Amino acid sequence: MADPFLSIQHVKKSYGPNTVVQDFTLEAAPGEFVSFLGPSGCGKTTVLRMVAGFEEPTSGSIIVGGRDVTRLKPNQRNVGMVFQAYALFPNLTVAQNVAFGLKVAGMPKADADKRVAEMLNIIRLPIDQFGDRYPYQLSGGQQQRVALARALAPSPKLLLLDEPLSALDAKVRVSLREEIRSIQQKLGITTIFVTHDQEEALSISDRIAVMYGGKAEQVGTPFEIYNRPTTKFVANFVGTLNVLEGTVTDPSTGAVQVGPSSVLLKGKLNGSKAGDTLSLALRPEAISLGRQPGRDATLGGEISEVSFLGSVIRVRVGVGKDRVSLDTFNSPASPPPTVGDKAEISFSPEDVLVLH
Amino acid sequence: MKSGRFWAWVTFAIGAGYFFIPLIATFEFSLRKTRGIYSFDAYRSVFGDPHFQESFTYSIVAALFTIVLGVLLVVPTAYWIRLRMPQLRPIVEFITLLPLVIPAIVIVFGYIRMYGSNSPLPFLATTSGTNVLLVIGYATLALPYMYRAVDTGLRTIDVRTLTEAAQILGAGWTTIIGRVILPNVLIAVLSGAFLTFAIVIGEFTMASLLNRPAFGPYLQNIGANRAYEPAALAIIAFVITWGCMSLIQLLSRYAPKSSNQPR
Repeated sequence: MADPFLSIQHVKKSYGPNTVVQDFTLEAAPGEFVSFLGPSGCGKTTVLRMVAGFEEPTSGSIIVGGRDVTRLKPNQRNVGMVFQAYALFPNLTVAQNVAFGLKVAGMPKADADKRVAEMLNIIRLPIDQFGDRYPYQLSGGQQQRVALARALAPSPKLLLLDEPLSALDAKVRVSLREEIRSIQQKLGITTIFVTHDQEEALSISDRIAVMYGGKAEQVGTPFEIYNRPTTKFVANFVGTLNVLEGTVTDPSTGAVQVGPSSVLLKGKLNGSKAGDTLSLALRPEAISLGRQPGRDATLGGEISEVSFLGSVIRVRVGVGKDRVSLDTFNSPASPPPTVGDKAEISFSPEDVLVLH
Repeated sequence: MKSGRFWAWVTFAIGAGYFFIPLIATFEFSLRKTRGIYSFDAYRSVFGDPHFQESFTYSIVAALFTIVLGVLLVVPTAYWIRLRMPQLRPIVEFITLLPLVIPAIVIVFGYIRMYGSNSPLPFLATTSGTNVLLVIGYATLALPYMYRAVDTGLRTIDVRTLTEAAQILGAGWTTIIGRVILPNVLIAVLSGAFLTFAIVIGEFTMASLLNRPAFGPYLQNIGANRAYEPAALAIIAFVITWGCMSLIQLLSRYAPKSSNQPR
């Protein structure tokens, strides 16, 4: 990476004997959109709050734009932040909310008014229609857009988004996340986005830091995180994953026994010995029902569940003591499989993730 | 009509009678100064009395200073307790309740001993010092009401998130309290202010023992020497108090509507 714009170095945060963030390191390039993804309590919000200055790291350093901000107060950092709970000032109108940071910075009124109008245009809430409204007169999505405009108005060096979409309904979430991404790209501002929603993180991030137990389990592009998870947690947390238990029968050929069948996973066993038990993970889209060209590995099983979802049919196949979930497209010409039918599933050994 | 409803109305009528009959009787008595006819002579006499004007003005000024002192003391304290030290809330609540438990006469005797002309802080050595001490005493007496009003106001807003939102936008503590917190709890502060006003206007013990020309001692003095004027003054004091309460109700309609909680 070229010179990072944000550098979080070996940051640790403890509350008494309880360590919530342990040795967290991350670098973000200028204009990059990085998401912190993880379950509740994994420390993602704590790291964000340390970057904002609301929490002081127990150890480690945070550098923004070449300046060490670790011990600076939040109002000295020139960082913008959008909160989950909107946090608009209820006593101020939309325009006054957006102008707040500009006023605090001492910007002349004429310039501030111009900037407010510009920001409200960016978030598609024109000042002549929305400028005089109070926060309680706006919908949740509109309030969060105003919060975004307010955070961006003083031209911060870094934008922090603390689960800004989680209080909104599903439809608004999708449209607002696209809007956030588009505004972020337009302004080229380095952004940290905290979420526990993997779809959100995968869809808008340049890179994702998957966090668990106060540590970054894996940092990578959405493609890498989804397709090449490096830990069992990341593989399980991101996307749907089928995990099959297998026993190595012949390490030289890569033969692994899965239920009654055997598959060859040459080059994937990573030094495993005969008799070792492995977890083999497969994404649903990497599995086909029946033999398919290019998917050489096959396993036999029995169909245990069929769910008709319209354009897609979700099929579960029992393989040994495990169950594999896969999706097939609906075709009016061929009826869905029946529960209890014998079935064969096929996949490419290349797509198998061996979780040690 | 159902019997439950009937008895509810009977209870209400008894309660209302308990409050209003003495009031109506006092008002009726206050109109009887001139023999044989109802007149507002007692009120005219009260309003025309220069001591009334002086003492009333003195108490109003004292009330305004008390309100300012109360706001400066209570708003930052209640805010800080909510934001940073919620574990201290029970202790602070207990402290603010003490003026209800400790009689004003005990407090004022404590003041006289502590701040006499021979003490390191001789408030009582000068008239202005005594006035300052009286305002401090009034602020203490109003503390339970002011603190609860402000604390209730703070409960309606997301103090922590609003503070952090202002901080990240570059605001310092003065701006945060002055432009974000105070305007959002203004109605609660005004409620506390009107309660303070009502307390100060009628307060007797402190003003009398500190020998200040306040409205309370004037009321007592008139009550001891005249017949109809005390009734008129009681009605005037009642109207002022009720006026304050009505203003609280009226202003609470204009409280900023909070939208900080996700819907």
